[in-house]
Amino acid sequence: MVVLLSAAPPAFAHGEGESVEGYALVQQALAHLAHSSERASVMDAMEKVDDALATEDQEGVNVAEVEQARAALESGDIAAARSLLQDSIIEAMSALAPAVGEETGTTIVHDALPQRSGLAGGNIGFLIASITILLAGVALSWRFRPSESVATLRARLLRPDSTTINAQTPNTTEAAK
Amino acid sequence: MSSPTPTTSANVTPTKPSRTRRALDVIDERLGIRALEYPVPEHANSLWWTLGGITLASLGILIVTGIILVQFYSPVPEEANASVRNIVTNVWGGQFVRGLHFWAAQAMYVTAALHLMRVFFSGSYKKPREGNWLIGVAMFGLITFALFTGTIIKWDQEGFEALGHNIELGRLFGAAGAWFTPEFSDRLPILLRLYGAHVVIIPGLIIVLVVLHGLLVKKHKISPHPQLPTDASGEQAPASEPTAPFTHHLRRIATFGVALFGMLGILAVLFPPLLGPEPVAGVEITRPPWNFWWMFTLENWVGLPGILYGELGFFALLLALPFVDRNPNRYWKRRPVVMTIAVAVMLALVTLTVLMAVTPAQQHLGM
Repeated sequence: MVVLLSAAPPAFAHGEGESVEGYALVQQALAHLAHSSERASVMDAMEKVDDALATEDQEGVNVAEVEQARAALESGDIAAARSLLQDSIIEAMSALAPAVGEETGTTIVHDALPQRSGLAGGNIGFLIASITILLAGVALSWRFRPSESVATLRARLLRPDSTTINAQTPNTTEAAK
Repeated sequence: MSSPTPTTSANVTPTKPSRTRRALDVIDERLGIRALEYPVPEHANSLWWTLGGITLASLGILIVTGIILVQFYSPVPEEANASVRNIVTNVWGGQFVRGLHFWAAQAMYVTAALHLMRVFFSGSYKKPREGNWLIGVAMFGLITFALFTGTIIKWDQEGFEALGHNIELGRLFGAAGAWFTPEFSDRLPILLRLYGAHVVIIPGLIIVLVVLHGLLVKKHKISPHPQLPTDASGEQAPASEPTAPFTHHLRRIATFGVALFGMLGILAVLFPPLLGPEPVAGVEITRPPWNFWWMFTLENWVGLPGILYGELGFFALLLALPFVDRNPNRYWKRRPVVMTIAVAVMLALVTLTVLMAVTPAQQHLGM
């Protein structure tokens, strides 16, 4: 079985883009459910579960658990369905060889990592430090702003009697030391 | 200092330089830092003329945060997603550093695009700066590729679907795109090779091009402002324009860099980047990062080749610009043809991007 599972990445049905290995179809159902719990995603997951139950290659898949997962999906218990689907492919996952090429190496499909779970501890410190740095940067860029705007420069350079004193050229800097 | 003491009259006591000054002199004597004090025209210190420097500041933040992240990231398919989760949840400050890295990448993309637009609208790509424009366009391409590989290596569903596009596009290129396909080195995970590209090849190339870019700016001097007079050649600022030492330009960039760092830190805390579920092959359920939306609308219309044609067309336009546009004027009102084309292109990009924002993810791979 190890040889069978690790021999190639999931094959795809012609024109459908759908895998025919049972464990891969179960993983696809899990991907839909992890992505969103909206009705459309659940329907997509259900379709994949049906494909997994119908496919000939069910090597390493606990079909009974997949059937239970389908029933859980129908009853709207997505958490139970995900748990059952994950458990149903433990055997297949444990037999996978290290991923090469474009193989995913995925064995468990977790939820998306939640974003910030509230401002606390270190985050408050980082936020205060960042605000301070931002204010310092703004103050410094104001302090070292150009002495003349482009509009002023333009007015000055277009004056017929325009003369320019480059007060900050290296030569004058040297002379001032 | 070993230099001879200057002769002074008996009545004048020379001022003794401060310790700091003397320390700086010692360093300068050995490193020649004052060579950077060459004069640049005053307009170079305006915000628009410092956008390239701000892009460089973003690169600096990316390199530092990237060095920290690689200490904890595992570029192995079985571990990659989990290692990013570990960085966010178990490494002290990991979420902040990852957030800084993500937002600095966004900042680099945006400031590079704005810099490109500034150079375009001010006609700074014209003679004799055509070569430097090409280097800038190449850097923008590398920045886009760095964003793309960064999306892939977090190894979630979004990243894996991006990889799927990467592979399919590589195949469309035939032999020229072989490196982007898993068949190129089928004993290794492609993730590992893209990680190598993300942390070594792309930043290395960007740094080489940044050095070339800077040397060419030094050689050709800062381009004239289109609203100010030029010298007789029309290619340089006039001698009558006030100047400031280049070190003041660097100082101005540094101050903007500090402000940028603070802003990115705030974004990193308040809007940390997402990490999706581990990838699964055979489904396409995510949307690409916003930077690529315009291409993916084309893909929705004409399939995968849409990305290829769109990207090639966009960069071909940018690369051809200085050779096609022979109008010597730099002020935008005197360049109606190229301005009309530019506005049309930008409107098209914005429209395609907005269309993607309101379109659900569609299946393209394996079709």
